[in-house]
Amino acid sequence: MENSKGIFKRYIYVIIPIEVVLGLVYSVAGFIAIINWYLGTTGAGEFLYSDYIPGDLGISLVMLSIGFLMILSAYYWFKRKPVKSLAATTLGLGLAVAAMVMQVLVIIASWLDGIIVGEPIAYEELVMGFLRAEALLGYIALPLFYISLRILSKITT
Amino acid sequence: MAKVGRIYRVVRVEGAGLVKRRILDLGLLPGLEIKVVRKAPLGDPIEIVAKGNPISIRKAEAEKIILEEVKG
Amino acid sequence: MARESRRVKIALAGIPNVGKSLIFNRLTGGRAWVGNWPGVTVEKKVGTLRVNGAEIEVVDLPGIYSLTAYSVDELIARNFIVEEKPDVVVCIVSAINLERSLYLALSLLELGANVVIDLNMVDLAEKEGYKIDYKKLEFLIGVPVVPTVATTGRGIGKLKETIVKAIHEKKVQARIVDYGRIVEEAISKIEEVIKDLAPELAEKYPARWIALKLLEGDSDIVGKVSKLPAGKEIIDKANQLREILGKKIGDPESYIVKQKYERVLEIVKAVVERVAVPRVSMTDLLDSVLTHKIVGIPLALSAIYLLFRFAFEVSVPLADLVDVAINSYLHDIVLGIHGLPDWLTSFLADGVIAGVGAVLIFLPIIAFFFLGFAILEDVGYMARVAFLVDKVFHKFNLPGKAVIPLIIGFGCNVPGVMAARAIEDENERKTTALIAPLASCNARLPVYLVIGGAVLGASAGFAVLSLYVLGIILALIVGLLLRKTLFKGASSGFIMELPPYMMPRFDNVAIKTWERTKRFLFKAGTVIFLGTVIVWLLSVTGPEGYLGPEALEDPQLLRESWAGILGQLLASTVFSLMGWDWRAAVALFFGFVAKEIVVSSMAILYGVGEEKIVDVIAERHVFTPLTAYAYMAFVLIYVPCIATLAMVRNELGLKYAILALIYEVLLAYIVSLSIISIGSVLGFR
Ligand SMILES: Nc1nc2c(ncn2[C@@H]2O[C@H](COP(=O)(O)OP(=O)(O)O)[C@@H](O)[C@H]2O)c(=O)[nH]1
Repeated sequence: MENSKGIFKRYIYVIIPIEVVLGLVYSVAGFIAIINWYLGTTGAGEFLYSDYIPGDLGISLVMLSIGFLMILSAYYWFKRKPVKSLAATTLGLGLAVAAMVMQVLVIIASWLDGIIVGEPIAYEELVMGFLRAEALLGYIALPLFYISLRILSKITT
Repeated sequence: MAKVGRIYRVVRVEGAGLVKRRILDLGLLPGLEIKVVRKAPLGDPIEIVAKGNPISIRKAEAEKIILEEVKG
Repeated sequence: MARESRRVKIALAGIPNVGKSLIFNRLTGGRAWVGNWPGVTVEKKVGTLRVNGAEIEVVDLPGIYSLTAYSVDELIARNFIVEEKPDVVVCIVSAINLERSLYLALSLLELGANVVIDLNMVDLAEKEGYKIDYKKLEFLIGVPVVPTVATTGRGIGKLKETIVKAIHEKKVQARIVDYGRIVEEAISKIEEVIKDLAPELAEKYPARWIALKLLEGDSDIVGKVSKLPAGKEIIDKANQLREILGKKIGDPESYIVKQKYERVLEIVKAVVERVAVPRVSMTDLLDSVLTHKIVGIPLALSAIYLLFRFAFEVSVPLADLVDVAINSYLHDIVLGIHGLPDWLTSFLADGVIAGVGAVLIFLPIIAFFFLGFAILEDVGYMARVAFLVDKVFHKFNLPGKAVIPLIIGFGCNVPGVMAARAIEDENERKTTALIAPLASCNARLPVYLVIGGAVLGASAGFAVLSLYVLGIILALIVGLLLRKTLFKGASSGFIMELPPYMMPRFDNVAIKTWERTKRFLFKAGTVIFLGTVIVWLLSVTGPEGYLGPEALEDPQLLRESWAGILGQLLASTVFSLMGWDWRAAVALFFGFVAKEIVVSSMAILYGVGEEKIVDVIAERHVFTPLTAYAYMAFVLIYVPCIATLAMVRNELGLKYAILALIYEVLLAYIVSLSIISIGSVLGFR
């Protein structure tokens, strides 16, 4: 296990700190998405950060789960369970990447759809889609996900 | 009742029909050591590992497997 | 060449998750006929293996652990082997789950099958740090063993060769397990009696196997033997021996299993060599998070949410492409053909083309859904979802696996019903297929959105959410009722192996997606098509005769059609308590074909375009909030669509399709009426 120690170093110093911050941001964004959903269905007011965070229960659940996993992984780390911590990290980042990919696919789909139906395409709206919270945070998660997956597959079967 | 994280030895398998036979056919035979790995979030079923791959089993059925704790 | 007329036939057997479907695809090139085993809803797949110009039929047996009479799947497999006598039974054995899969292999050998062992997943065994000496394995069990890696195709050529060779060189190893002196003596005694008294039985089954099964007390074999003229004598003898054995060794069945497993362990010990220390198992590690007590369930919901996003939103351009191609382009072409009689043009344009469109527009969503689902399934995650929710389902006498048809049902009920076949127990499977239509499918959503949006205002979001929850609750309750009445029987339990996580395989996923989509197209497609044509017919004709295609656009005329008359009849009789407009009732009738038609037919009935329908419903006060909510609940519960009913018929038979129709309509009526009466008592309007 000697060289897995070396691998772990990168994990401790690079991934864990970024991840804790990311986890908090995801959690906050998730909460705001719930609030926005409530505002949206009751019509009680304007969305918070409406450019970045939709009012959608599903996406809020996804973001809260991601946030929770990232914080869980830090918790495991401090409990001296590095392997479990790594697993939580990888899954959290993986879900973050999946959410981002899905958002990008949806944007591409609406762009194609505009062409097919022959309606004028609202490019500005499409571009804003790339800036939605789950997309934006997903771009950061992508390289981290790659690294943590590499480490994980090195130390397990 | 078996606890998560502990290791047990199968003493015998009770019950009848499909459930009993499935337990046996999966190789959970008297003398075998098994480990209770975890519970599902709602408390049931539980996951145990014996030889090979993990098995998930409901508590009601797991009770048909009479166990003794292996002192570690 | 005495048996020229008979096609050479082989069967594939294996415990679940050994890679059997992948091997099947490798052998047959992925093309398969998919249907049911006679009399049950267990899937049967048949394909063709072509080697050296010869054509060999390949039958995929259900994934099983043993060959007992307790489980339908196991009975199917053993009856097939005994009755159809396949030339070769390829037993797929997993190198990473050697004990359990060899146990099945030995059971097949005991049945007298001509077995070839496919030692699959050797790559994973190597990765986990052990080596399997397959030559030695071959020597020990006396039948050919071929190591393969199904994912890359390594060893498949050799497997085909070995199969062909085995067709000509039968090897039978029915005595592979020695059960020890006491049991062996009992076996020989019964064998003798069988050979003396029932030679016809000994021709069909190996006498040793019958003897073993009688000692085990196998209900199916005991039944078959009792029917013979000499049956009683044989059974008496067996029972007598069972009793004697019982005193010496305890329960004979357990003892026999134990002996067989001991033989397996002996073999495994001899052929497996550890070459590296085991490392942390990835599967266990991932499970510790994926089934975590706090985040496990939210994670499952997140995964399902992303799956739906993929199916519904990413598939939109394809669905619109189909829509444009059929409903505008093709439609216009037909309208442009001169010289056709009016009714024919309308029949083609509004009946046939609309019918084809109704099917094809749905196809991209379904295909995307199946694609996403196949990935989750191939990774091994769906088994965990069943694990997570099992407790809830257990309370309603259902297995955790019943969650999968319901999840799929949220996309579309037709494949939801289809997915019930993955459940092992026959009673639980039938129950699940019958309740899957209560999951609120994608086609119902537009109805909720239109009516909720028009009438419920700010609480529309909650109302829609509550309907989804209502669907699940009703499904569970109806499930419990069915399990207590029609489909009684002990719960089959929830003993299952959790498969190791794997990277999804492109070809595996592609083939699964394709097979299921194709099936949807053929089974549901024809019915939806016919339904659309019938609705067209009922709308353009009435007691006065043919009304002309104008009826589809003119609400006054439509009122005179059969469909309009029926709706008015319904509104003034059974629905009179609900306070629904006759147009809403007619729309329900159209909704039998497919739920999304409810909205478009309302638009026609109110004489507006679909984009205006929300305004019209709001302005004309068609519904009060209470009647609107009751209507939405009715739409949720009453028959999802005729395609779903057709699928229930296909899976369970006509009887149960009729049952589904009746219970759903009744339940819808009861629930809506309760909403109205309880709601008005509580002061809602
Ligand atoms: N690495 C590896 N994976 C395999 C092999 N055979 C099957 N798999 C994977 O094992 C999983 C189960 O395979 P499947 O054919 O669905 O199993 P079945 O339940 O026996 O039909 C899939 O994810 C396959 O991609 C193999 O030889 N090597």
